[in-house]
Amino acid sequence: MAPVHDELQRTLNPTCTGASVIAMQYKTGVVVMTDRVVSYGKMARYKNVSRQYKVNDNVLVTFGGDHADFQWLQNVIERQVLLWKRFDQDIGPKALHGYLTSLLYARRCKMNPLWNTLVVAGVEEEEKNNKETSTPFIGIITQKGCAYQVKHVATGLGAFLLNQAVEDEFRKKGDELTRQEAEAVLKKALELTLYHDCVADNDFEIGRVDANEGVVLGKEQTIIGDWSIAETNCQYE
Amino acid sequence: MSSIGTGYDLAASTFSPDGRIFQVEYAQKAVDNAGTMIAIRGKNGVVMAVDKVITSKLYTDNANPRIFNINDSVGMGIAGNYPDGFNLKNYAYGEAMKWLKDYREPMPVNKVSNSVAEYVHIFTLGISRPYGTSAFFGSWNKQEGGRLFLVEPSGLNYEYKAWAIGKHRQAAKAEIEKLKIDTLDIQDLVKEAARIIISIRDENKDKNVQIEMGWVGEQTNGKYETVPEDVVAAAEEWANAKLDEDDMED
Amino acid sequence: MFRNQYDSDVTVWSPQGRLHQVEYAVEAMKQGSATVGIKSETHAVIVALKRAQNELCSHQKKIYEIDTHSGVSIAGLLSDGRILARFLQTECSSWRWDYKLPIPMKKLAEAMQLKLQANTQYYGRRPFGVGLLVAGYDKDGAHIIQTDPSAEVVSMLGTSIGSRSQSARTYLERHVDEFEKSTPEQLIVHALLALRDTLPAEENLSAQNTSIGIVGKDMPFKIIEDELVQTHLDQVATHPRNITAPGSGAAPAAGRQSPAPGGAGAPEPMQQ
Repeated sequence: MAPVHDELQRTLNPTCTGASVIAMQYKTGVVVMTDRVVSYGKMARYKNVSRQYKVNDNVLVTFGGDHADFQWLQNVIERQVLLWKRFDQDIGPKALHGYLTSLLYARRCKMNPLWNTLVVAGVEEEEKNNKETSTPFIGIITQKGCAYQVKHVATGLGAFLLNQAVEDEFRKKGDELTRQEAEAVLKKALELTLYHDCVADNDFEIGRVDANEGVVLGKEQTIIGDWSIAETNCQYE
Repeated sequence: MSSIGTGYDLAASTFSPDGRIFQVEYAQKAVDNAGTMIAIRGKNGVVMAVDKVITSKLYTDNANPRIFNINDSVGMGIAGNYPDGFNLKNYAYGEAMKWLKDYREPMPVNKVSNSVAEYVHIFTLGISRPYGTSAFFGSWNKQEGGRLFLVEPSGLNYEYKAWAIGKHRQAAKAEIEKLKIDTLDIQDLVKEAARIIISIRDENKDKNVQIEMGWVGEQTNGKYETVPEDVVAAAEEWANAKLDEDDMED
Repeated sequence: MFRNQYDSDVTVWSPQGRLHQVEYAVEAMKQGSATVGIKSETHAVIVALKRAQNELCSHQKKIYEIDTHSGVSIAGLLSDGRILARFLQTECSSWRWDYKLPIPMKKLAEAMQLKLQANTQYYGRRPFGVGLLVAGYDKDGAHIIQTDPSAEVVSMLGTSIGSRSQSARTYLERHVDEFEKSTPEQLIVHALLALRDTLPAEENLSAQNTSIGIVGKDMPFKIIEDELVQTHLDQVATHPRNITAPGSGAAPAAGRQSPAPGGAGAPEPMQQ
């Protein structure tokens, strides 16, 4: 149907996209895993592209969805960091999560949403220069501005596949999880996306925010998985 | 000043018969009466130093700073009417934000000073009063080296190797001219700046004063910073020793 | 006070580089009844002296809450002060809307300074004839921020503005080293003692004319008024008053002295 003259049609699909984000708290921080491929539809269009953005020493923002929208958001976040520096503060994950929630919600109300799911990870300093009171933080914001705080999460197709698996693992030790244990859970979770999500990739990275170390961006890693089960699939040649 | 009482000096929109705009000159007076501020471009960086009066011990440490960051690499130092200067800082900061939004890179120092100068100039045309503040802008990077600009209440914006404004500017300039500034790095400049500020103080009038400094250079990786208090204190100590030494020689 | 041709508007610089209209507005602030603010590491306290226009009139409120972590007290033209208090409240709520968190006090001070400055530069406006003491608590700790009509906005360890406030500042300067480690109760007593020093000999603090505002760590801003003030006043009463004869000692009143509040036959001041 041809659009009526005063109608306005927005872009109905994202273009270059990233897939799931998986994040988990451990005792003194947060680990976040993303793969490193940019998809164009179902084609793996670009490799070796990070979806993790270091905001400052306390905050790491990762995303799924449209890369161009997020690149624009990076600039927005950069300006927020400067705004907070102006009164001698580093923006914390709570405040940034709050701000991005307001932004994404306002955009969706204008019928022009940003095509991203954001995961704001970090450690929230309750008092300045007192690491003892710092607490790990994971905040999610969906494309529609729906926001919540969690101790662990999987977004994108991962939300359908992994949340139960991640939760089961998290429940075994809860807040006492070590970083190594948390990373092991994430790797297992990524293996599951790899089997079920056709736009997930086996090149990935794990970033972390730790109360003592600050933001540490991860190195590129690869996971192969176990494909022997494929032999029993009747459609497999 | 023979202009006083002639009626040609009551608005920035009025020229006097000999072509002057007195309101702009009077605004400049607010800067001329303020604590001395000097800025020097050296071998590998720029240093700003200002003499502040602290009228009461009830103020918190570094209340009302005169040295600001506009972005990571561009610094600003203000002298004159403080609220006016604070407002200019806010404008400069807003311009830097707009630049970052539009170009997705930090605003260069010459663009900042130029934009502030244009804004200040509008206030010399009438309606509102001119700004009673002058502002230095400084930066350093590998490609351009050090850069230093001054924006004045008239809207003038010149680039300098070194300059002084405020109460004892003439004496300060004379002192700066004695230095071979091209050979000094920012560590030396901090010391020399402290020496100059202290040496030109009027011992009877300039009491309860404190030096605030800003620096940017190779040693700060091109990041503009307020000089840490202990570094300033060490420079003042060095300066006082040096001045005592000079007195002995006389 | 002498009239001169450079004092008619904020848009005129005097040949000496001064702004007379702005300086006059500062005088308006100095005529309001005094208010004192002090802070420790963890708490900030503001106390204020309320005036009643006459005996049939209630005392005019001088302390306002602006958010859960901040409050303000006013000296000078109260109607100007209320506009600024409302402005601060709006700043707080819009920050909460954006970030879901209380506004940092430095940001609040900056917004305040920019608003005040505009009224000292543009034609057709006048400066606000009021000074504020803003008490607040945030990540950086406790804050006392002083503002005045010339748009000087400054962070203080302790301060006082309004009529005869120099006497209070003298007290504060003498005791400033004790504030940092004081308990909230000790802070209130210090503040009230400083405030009492602004009163002439024949008057005293009372539950009717004194307000207290306090905020701090794990303590949202609250106003203590009327009979609740009495317990604090009882504490203060144990300290003997050190009354200096007018014109002697270290208590020169800042600006013109205002008549005693509620004093019989005294002309009513506009300032509160």
